[in-house]
Amino acid sequence: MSSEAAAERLHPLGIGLLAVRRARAWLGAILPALAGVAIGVGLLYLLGALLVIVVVAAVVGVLEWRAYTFGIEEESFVVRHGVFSRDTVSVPLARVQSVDIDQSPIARLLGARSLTIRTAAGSATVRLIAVSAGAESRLRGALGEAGASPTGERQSGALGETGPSRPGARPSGARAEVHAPAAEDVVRRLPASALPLIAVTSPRIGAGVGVLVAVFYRLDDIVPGGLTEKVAPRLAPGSLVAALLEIAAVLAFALAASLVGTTLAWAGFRVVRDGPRLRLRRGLLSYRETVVPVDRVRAVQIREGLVRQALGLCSLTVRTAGRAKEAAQSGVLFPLLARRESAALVRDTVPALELEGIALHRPPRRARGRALRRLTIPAAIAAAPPAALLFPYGLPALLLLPAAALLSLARFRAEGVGLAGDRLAWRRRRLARSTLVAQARSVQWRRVRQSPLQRRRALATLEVGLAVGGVEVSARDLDAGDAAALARAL
Amino acid sequence: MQAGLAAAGALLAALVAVVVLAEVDASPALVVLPGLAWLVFFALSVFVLPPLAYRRWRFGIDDEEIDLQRGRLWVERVLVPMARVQHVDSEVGPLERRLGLASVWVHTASGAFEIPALDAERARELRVRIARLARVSDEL
Repeated sequence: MSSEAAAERLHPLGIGLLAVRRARAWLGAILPALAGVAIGVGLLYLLGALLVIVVVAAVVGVLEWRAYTFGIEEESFVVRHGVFSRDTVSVPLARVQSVDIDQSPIARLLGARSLTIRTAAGSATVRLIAVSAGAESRLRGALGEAGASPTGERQSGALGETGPSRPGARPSGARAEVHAPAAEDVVRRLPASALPLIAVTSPRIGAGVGVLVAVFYRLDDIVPGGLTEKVAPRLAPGSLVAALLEIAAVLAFALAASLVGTTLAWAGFRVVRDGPRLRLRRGLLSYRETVVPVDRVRAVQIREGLVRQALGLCSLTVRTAGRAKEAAQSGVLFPLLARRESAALVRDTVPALELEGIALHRPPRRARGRALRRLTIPAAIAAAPPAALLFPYGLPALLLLPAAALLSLARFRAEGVGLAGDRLAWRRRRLARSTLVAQARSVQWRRVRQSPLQRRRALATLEVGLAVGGVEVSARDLDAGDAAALARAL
Repeated sequence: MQAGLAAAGALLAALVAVVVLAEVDASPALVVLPGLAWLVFFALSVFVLPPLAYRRWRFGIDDEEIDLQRGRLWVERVLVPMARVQHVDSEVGPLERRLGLASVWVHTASGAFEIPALDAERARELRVRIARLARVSDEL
């Protein structure tokens, strides 16, 4: 196809976004001067100056928008921009790892969305701030089919297959459940009933409680007269009851906040199979979607937080090549599901990374003492001074010791690494237990380390560098022979 | 080399400490014992550990793989398949240039590894050789 045919413009919303970006930059630069004008010459002149800035920014926005084109040319995604100096960015389609689609509520009303195109080279490679639904589906259609079919066929196929059928494209913001087209192959949908469960078991809730406690104790300073002093005694005469009520109130607030956040982020989440691509879609007010070609997925990660593990729940993330940390957040394959259903979901979505059937090499029993000491000794060092110096009151600090011992044993039990065919599995725990199943071909290097103490017990640490989002696999205290054999086999 | 610099720094710090402690009339033990400790550390990190590290450093390169072994007390072995090498470069510091040495860095898609202090001519050959062997297309 010719380059003219491929050249597309940003959605008209882009004019506004470009203008706002310009105006912001200028305002930041000349703010002191503006303040001088306002004080020295008068407010009217300030308003005049602001008006000039807005008008000039709008004009520049239009010029930049006119100069900004993008499209697909010869197997590459190409962006040209710049009014005075012309920049051309070209990304081979075969190098695109994933595309993120974001729609703010305003963009949703206007039918625009932003696209972030990610490659293995690092963070967001190209960001299109506003494109139309048609442009989005054409780009999305070109993704993940490189090498799968002849060029021409791919282009037309993509156009025909993905019409303006996305619910997010509807200006009214209609929900997918109402307008879902029959062609959409939804692999799995997050039921609304799962949202409270996500909120309750989310690690976020801890942070929420922390913030609320801080706010609560500042309340006396903020509210005149002291709210807690006024309310608490009236509600409950005993100070213990009052304290319990406070705790209950904090928890309730934290829960509510977590529930709102969870609902905004995950409502309507679903995994959709779209030809060779996976589309991970979510969001209530802002709509977000991650498009990943299935053959680009290099690893699947299962995370089980302490609470979630107790309930038999986990979350799944898909990861592609590259170093981008933020890309990992956009690759959530499923935010919450039963652990025993995870294998089936992965089989349906990323069959190459089958979770089951990989035997893990675990640290031998003789490594248990080392694992135990690794956490309990620092805990003892941390707990000893408060326990000794603040004698009766500092004693609870000693509770750190059994906690550290339990955690280190749990970590010891979790640790392991295994290889089956072309899949590498790695399990470990910090607080949450995480299991990674990666393609063996994304292994970049292997390292076996041995400290003098490890050598005495014939133990060794195996480390494996993966070309996946900065993941460095490391299994501590494996049997030295196991570690060497695995390093050779990988 | 870092160890040598650290040792030199430590020696300087020890000398300063000795002078300061002498000024404030501290007991001789307070001056002499830390000084001795520093001296031992200095001697170890300059005269004992580098030769050991040098003796232990091994590397092997064949058509398939780069194999690096190093360590004194903590030993480690790194294996990098040729197909995973993204690029190779060499590095020559001012001191290395005087001594006619160079280091070769092997970069992968997740991290880089150094083959330090090679004869400059050998480093050049190695760089070229790895670059040629690594000329295999590898998709991430």
